[in-house]
Amino acid sequence: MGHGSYSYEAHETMTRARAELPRQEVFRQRRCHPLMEPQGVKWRESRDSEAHPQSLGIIFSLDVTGSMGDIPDMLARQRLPAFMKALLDAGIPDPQVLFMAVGDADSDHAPLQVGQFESSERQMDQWLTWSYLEGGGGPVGSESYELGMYFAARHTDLDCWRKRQRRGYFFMTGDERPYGYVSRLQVAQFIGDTLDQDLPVKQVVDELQRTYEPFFLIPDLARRRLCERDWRELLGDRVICMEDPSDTVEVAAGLVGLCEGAFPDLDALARHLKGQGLTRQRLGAVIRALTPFAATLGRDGVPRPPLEDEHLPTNDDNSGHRRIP
Amino acid sequence: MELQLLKCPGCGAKLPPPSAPNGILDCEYCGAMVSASGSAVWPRPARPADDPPFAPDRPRVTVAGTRYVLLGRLGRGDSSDVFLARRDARITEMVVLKVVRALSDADLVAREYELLEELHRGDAQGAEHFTRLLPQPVARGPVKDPEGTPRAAAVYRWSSGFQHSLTDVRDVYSSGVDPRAAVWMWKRLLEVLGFVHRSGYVHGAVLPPHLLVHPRDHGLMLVGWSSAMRFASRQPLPCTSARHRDFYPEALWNGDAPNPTTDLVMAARSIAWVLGGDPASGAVPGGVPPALADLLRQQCDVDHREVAYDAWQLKERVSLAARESFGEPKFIHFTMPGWR
Repeated sequence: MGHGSYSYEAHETMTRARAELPRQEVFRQRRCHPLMEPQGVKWRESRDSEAHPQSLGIIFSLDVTGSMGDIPDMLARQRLPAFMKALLDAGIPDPQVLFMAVGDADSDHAPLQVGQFESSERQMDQWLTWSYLEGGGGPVGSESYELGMYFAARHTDLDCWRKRQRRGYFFMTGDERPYGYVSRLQVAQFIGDTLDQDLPVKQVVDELQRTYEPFFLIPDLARRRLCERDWRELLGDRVICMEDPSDTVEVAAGLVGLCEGAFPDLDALARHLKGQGLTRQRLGAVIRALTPFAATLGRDGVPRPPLEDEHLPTNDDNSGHRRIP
Repeated sequence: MELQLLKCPGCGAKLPPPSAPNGILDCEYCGAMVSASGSAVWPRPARPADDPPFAPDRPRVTVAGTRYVLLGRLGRGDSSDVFLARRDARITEMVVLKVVRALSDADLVAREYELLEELHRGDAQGAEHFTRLLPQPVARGPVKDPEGTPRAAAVYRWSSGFQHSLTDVRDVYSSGVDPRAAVWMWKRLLEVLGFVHRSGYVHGAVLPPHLLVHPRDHGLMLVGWSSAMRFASRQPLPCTSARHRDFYPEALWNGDAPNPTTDLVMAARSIAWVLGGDPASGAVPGGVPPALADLLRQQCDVDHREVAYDAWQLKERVSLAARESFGEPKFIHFTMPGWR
């Protein structure tokens, strides 16, 4: 897959045409689209082609439960063209995007739906709008994010990695905690793999990060408090807390731009976004969301703190505290 | 049942006894998977090599089962040393590691961590915003020093840019900062304190080394929570900082229970000090406009009849005094060495 070329204008026209349509008209699926069934899929491939010699595989794994369905909706109506344009502007010549929809394997009919890597706006949009926004979700504060990560880790093949040793990008949106294990029963039921035992989710993340740069995007500050801590244990500074879900596109494109070195630091990214006409308020929100990860890369645009070359203290020292008896 | 010593058919290394007769074993040496009967071997699949370790020359320490690379010491507090560190893995996290230097103060590290967890769990108004300006707990537990002594330690998330305490600021601006900079520092501090008080806590150690500023963004974080407590408990502070006697109201120093006003007085004293003034009296240099100087002197005196008890109200008064002194608020560039 990954044929066809990208046209921002065509994409814009397509999304603008449906800006006013109700969600049911945009997302018409009432069950999992047969082509998005992961059952029995061996590989989803992101390949170089003549038109796209420098392919870069990007996965959007979108939580479609409850209110999280707003993000795919927003992408389909208005924001996806902006994401593609931001990537092209940032000097990523041949992005190929795959959409996954994630729900809860205990309670949803279609907890995992998987599209294909695509380069052209029409096909990308087709997979996105074929997603079935089931809107269910688990009752206990967890969703089956691990199935999406498992699929990406073991059932995708990227030329950017295979030929150029460059990792693809894996963006997952969500507002709940991960399950601790990938269940072998669910993997057999929904993907068709035979596992000897359940896989700890840590191991799945470890496999995923070998070929992808994984990120977990939390839509707003209220929902951050529900799940951030658990995700940080797994993904550290790659847990990105946004202030508004409508920033998803700028944040994701900013992450790719920072990792790929298109922007030397956050200041450069801020200048770029300002040039794109982002309001001051939203610009601030995007930069705040990206700051912790940019600090990990050393690209947060602030001087490195002065550090003394010291090891942990030894012996015992007098306390500078005065205890009140 | 006869015990059989298993060897990996792949490489000949010894394998531990299987936990179940039909169990699958992983050979620790070559990574192959072996069935317990030894009849089937699946060699380790080819996979990309691990990335090289980050900063291999820097020391490693382990807290609560996670290994960190110590990047260097950020500073020294009254009883702890504070380090910048990062999780020793490709999927990493920048953290601040606080390690107790005076072993008798291990309890303070623990209570600070627990109290911050409570504050983060709380749902007082503004929690979503203000919890981002508090140290964010990651892990805690003993860490072994180079001599093998376990020391109490706590791990917090690193906040990019918040790297200068007011003590550092005063070192750079030895005759005091621009009063307009002191205004934003004071206001940011009062906002955080307003949230903390609304959550039912007092900080109890609002001292220059505990106030970290972000020069470019005019941000302020409050750290050093080891004496913080619920003020409804009416208990005295667990400890005070011997080096900062002038910043404590006298009664607090002598063992009275703290309340929101004591935090506000200590805040005003810290601001007076960073302006180049005297914390105990609140007297500031002549360059500070009178409206601001008067307000500071008033708020440094815990017995003054107009001393504030509500951080938000005091913030309004600071805004008024600033408007009177400098006119409409506007952004004034503030910098520290190394910043653009």
